[in-house]
Amino acid sequence: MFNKDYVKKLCDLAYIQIDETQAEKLSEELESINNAVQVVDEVKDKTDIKTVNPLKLTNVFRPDKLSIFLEENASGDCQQMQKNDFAKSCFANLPLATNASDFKQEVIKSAPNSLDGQFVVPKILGDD
Amino acid sequence: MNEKITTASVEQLINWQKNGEVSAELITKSFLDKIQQLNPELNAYITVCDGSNDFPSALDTAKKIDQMRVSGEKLPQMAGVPIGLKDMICTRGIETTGGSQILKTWVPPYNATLAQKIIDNCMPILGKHNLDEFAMGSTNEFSGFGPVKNPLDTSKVPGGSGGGSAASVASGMSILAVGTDTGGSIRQPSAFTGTVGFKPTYGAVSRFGVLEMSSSLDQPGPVARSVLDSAYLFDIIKGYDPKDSTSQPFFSSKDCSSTAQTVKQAQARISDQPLKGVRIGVIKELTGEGFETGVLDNFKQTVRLIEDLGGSVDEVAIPMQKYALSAYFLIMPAEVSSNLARFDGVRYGQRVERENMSVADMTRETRGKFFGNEAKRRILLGTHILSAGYYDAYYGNALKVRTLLQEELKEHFSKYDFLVSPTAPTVAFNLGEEITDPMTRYSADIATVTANLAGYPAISIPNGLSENLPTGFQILGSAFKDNEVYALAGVLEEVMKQQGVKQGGK
Repeated sequence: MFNKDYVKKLCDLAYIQIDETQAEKLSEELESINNAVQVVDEVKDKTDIKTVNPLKLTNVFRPDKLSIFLEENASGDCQQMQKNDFAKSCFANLPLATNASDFKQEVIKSAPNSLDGQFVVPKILGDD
Repeated sequence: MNEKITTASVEQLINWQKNGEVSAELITKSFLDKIQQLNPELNAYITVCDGSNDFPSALDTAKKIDQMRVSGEKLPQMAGVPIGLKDMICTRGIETTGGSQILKTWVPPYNATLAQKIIDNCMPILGKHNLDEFAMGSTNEFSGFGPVKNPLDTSKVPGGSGGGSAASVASGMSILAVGTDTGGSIRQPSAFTGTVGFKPTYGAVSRFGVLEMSSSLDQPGPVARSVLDSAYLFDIIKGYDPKDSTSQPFFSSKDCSSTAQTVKQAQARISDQPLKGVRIGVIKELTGEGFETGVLDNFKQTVRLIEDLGGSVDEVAIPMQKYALSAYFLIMPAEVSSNLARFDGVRYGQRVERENMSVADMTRETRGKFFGNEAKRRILLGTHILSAGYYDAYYGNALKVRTLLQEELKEHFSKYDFLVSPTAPTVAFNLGEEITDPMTRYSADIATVTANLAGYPAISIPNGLSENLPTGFQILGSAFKDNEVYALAGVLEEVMKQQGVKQGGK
């Protein structure tokens, strides 16, 4: 089932570039794992109940109001940090964000490429 | 003095600081010295917070704690006890890589809830522990930052994925660590290194800010050298967190008492038949075929010990155990493939960049170049599992196994207090062993995945040596019985110590 072409198709779907040698090796490995895990087929008629989460969950709600994600988070985060003097003093050598725009800068700073507080990606539209 | 500090217990470090015998600075410095001495060989840390880089220095934190103590400020109990964190846990201002080259250079702008709790408790962060890439592996050889060596025998692996944390704690490069356990990533490395590893009930410790591998299975937990040390750390990191919708309110409620106190009380009462009335089931499927003789011999010895201490022991069958590993290797890659989709080269970490490339090519090449082989295998497997036409046969049936396994365990827990087994079928493997079939390695998780699939708490404690390498004894409890699991672990540890069982830890 996991011939090289199928592996390449999966790579396309998962956005992963591989070369011929890798495709060869992956096709053997995936075949072996796939054969081993198929044993779960034996339980298909034993229950209809599918357990996605192991324990009972309670929903968590927040007020349904419009906000800008990063800015909202920044104010919450900063308030929490101000509250705790130790956390503040511990990390005092960091440029601690005290307002939304500084926090946004901190988020953007870790991106591989950014400009004016925005993520930069390769061009997605044609020239014309 | 340095050696005395790096081999001390949590209570000793707390008391020595209170008495003024040692300062928080000296404690942190002792561990940083140990790291400087051992880490080049063992590679247990990816990042060390020693002030030599842009990240906040653990020494500065320690100095502040000393100042606060001198000026008479009230400090939390664990103040000045340093810690290392698995590099899956987001730390504000400290690089967090998940063990992957794709996230190298990423500095999180926020703390994971558990990291914030550690900071709030004035525990200096020594650094970030090495791991298999995104916590996927059982040897630590799949780390994007080089393999970790087992401190007890450097020709062996420390287990995985939390090999860095286990090796660090076992070798005295830290006293405590927080790991994450998806299929055994805290417990199996503990078994391989002679440390204590605990996977709490799913939802006991917040996953907010912990890089996600398989969200319905992941659970952070403590790594330590003793059950009591581990309990002290668990008391700090457990608790309800509204930022994690899978967090359980029980762990912040009145009914959830101090784990450290529970362990101390249990260990204080070991003189006379401490396990009288305790019912233990030995998991039949995890004590036979595929398990090394040395591992089984040690296991049986501890089971006899339980009987000597007054416990009643029966063998129990979990027929669904046969399917557990397969269900795990379906659910986990499915969740991995969607969780790792966020690494697209746009928002964090590294990316491949050249002139005139399309967004799709950028993402493909970035993921192709910076993901390691194991990450690729699991993403592709997950992509296959979730594709139309296969979904029900694979993922659907795996979820049914989860239902049935939980039913069987519930049934057992109506008759038994604990289920026990060896933590791993073998002792630590050779480093760099050529493995052609990935399933060979995956079977290292055979005894540990059950707890994750069910969401139940399980601990691994050192259980004597085989071939001069540590083995682990695993105790599985019912949901929310974390303290009970700790109590039994504490009793067994203490009695083994009194009987002089050699564990090989440092």
